[in-house]
Amino acid sequence: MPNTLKMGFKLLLITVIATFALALTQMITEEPIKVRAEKASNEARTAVLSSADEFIELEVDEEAYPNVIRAFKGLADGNLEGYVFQVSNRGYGGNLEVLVGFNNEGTLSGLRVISHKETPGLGAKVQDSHYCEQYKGLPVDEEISSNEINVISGATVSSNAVTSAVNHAIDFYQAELKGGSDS
Amino acid sequence: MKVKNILINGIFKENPIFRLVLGMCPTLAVTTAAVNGLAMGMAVIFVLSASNLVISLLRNFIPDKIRIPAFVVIIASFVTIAGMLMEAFVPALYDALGLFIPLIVVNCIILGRAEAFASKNKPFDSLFDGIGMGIGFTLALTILGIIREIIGAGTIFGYPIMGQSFEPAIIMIMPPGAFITLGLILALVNKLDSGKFKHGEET
Amino acid sequence: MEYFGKIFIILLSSILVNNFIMSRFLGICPFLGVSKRVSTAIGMGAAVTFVMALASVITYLAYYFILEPLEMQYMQTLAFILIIATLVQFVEMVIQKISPSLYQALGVYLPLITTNCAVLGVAILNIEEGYDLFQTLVNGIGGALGFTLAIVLFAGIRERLELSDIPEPFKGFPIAMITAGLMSVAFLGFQGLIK
Repeated sequence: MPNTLKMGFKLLLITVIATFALALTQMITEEPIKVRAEKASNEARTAVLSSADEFIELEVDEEAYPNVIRAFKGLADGNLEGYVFQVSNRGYGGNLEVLVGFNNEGTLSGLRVISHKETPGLGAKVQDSHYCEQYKGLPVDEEISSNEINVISGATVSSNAVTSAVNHAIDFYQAELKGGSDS
Repeated sequence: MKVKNILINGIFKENPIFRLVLGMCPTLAVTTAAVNGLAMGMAVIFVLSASNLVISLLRNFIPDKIRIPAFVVIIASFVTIAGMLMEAFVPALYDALGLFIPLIVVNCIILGRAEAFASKNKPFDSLFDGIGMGIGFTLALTILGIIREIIGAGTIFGYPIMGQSFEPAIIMIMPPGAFITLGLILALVNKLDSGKFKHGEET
Repeated sequence: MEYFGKIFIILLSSILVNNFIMSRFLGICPFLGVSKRVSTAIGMGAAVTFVMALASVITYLAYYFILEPLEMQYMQTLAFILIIATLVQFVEMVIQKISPSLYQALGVYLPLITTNCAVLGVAILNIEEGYDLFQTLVNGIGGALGFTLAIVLFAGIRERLELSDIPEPFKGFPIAMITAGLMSVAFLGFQGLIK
C-alpha cells in the first residue's frame, strides 16, 4: 500500500512541476501571440482597404448572418473610408475564410483568402494574387454572379466558394450598412 | 559511449524514419513542402533532446510501474512548450504544421527513445541520442519534403526551379504522393544496404 | 432535421472523404504494424473504435468542464494524452477478462493504441471543429470506422501480397507503402462527395 501511494505521489509531483512549467511558458508567450495576431489581422485589413489605417469592429447578428464572421469600419483621420468583412463559405475541402474590403465608391477594394482547406495546387490557387485581383473594382450594389469571374480550371467549386463568400459580405453590407447612411 | 558514435547512429545506422520506420504520421503529413519538413524536424529535435535529458536525469527517481505515464507527462510538457514558442515566434510555420504539433507527443520515436535509451543511460549520452535521432528525423523529413515539393509544385523551399513549362504533378503533394515517395525511398535504402553487405562478404 | 443532416455529413466525412489513414495520415504506425492478417486487423479496429469513442466523449467533457472554466486550455495536450493512456490501460484489463484470445492476438499492439495518433488526433479535432457532445461521439466513431476500413482492406491486400513475387528491396515496408499510396488514390475519389 505505501508503495502505491509513493508511486502515485511521485507521478503527481512530476505532473505538478510540469503544470507550473507550462503555466510559466504560457505567461511568457501569451503577449507575443496576441500582439502578432492583431498585427497580422491589421495588416490583412489594410491590404484589402488600403486607404484606411484604423479599424473599428462592428456588431454582427450571428443568427441572421452566420457567414459574416467579423465586420469593420475602415477609417483614415476619422473619416469613413469603407468597410472590411471577414466572411466564410464552404469550399471543396472545408470552410474557407475571406477578407474583403468595400470602399466609398461602392466597389470592391481588395480581397484576400486568409484560410482554406482546398487542394494544394488546384483549389489552393484561390489564394494567388492574380486570382484575387479579378474581384477588385467590381460593383457591390448587388451580388456578383459567377460568370463575372474567371474560375480556376479544375477548381470551380473553390473559385465559386470565394465568390459566394464575397456575396455574403455584399448582402450584409446592402442590408445593414448601405441602407442607413449614405456617406 | 562516444558522443560522436551516438550522433552518427541516430543519423545513419538507426535513422528513425528510413531504418526504424517509426514516426510515420508526421513524416507523411507534413512533408508537402521542404520547409514544413524542416520545421517539424527542428521541433522534434527540441522535444526529443529535452525529454531524453530530463527522463535520463530522473531515471532513478521514476518507479518502473509508472514509467510510461511519467514519460508521457514530461514529453507532453515539452511538446506544449514547443507549440507555444512556435505560435509566438514563427506563426506561419505553426499554422503550416497545425494538428501535428500536439501530435509530436505520440510520435513513437520520442517515447521509443525514452524507453530504449534515456531510461537506461546517463544524461549526457541521452541528450546526444536525442539530438542525433532528431537530426536523422529532420534529414529524412527534409529530403522527403524536397522531393515532393520539386515534383509536386516545381519549387524548392518556395523558390521555383523547374521553369515555366514544367507541369507539376499535384499528386505528389497529396496523400498518394507521400506514401509512394516514402515507399520508393525505403526500397532504395534497402537496395543500398544489401549492396553494402554483399561487398562485405566478398572481401 | 438539419441537425441530423450535419451528423450524416460528419459520419460520411470521417469514414470516407477525410479517412483518418488515407487522407489525414493519422494512425499510420498501427496501420503498418497490425495489417498483416485480416483477423487481427478487425480485432484492432474494434478495440480502437471503442477507445476512440470513449476518448472523444471524456476529452470533450474534460475540455469544456475543466480546462475552459479554469482557463487552462494550454494543458490540453497533457490532459488529453493522460486521459487516453488511462483509458487504454482500462480497455486492456477489460479485454483480458472478456476475451483472453483476442488479448493474446493483439499482444503489444494494445498498449500501442495510446500512441496511435488517430486517438489523440480525433480528440483535438473535435475541439477544433467545435462539435457538441453528440457530434463529437459521431466523429470519434466515424474516424475509428474509417481507420478500421482502411486497415482491414489493407490486410486483405497484404495477405495476398505475401504470396507474390516481390523484388528484394521492396519486401516489407516499401511495398506496403506503395500499396497504401495506390489505396489512397482510390480514396481520393470520395472527395467532392460532400458539397
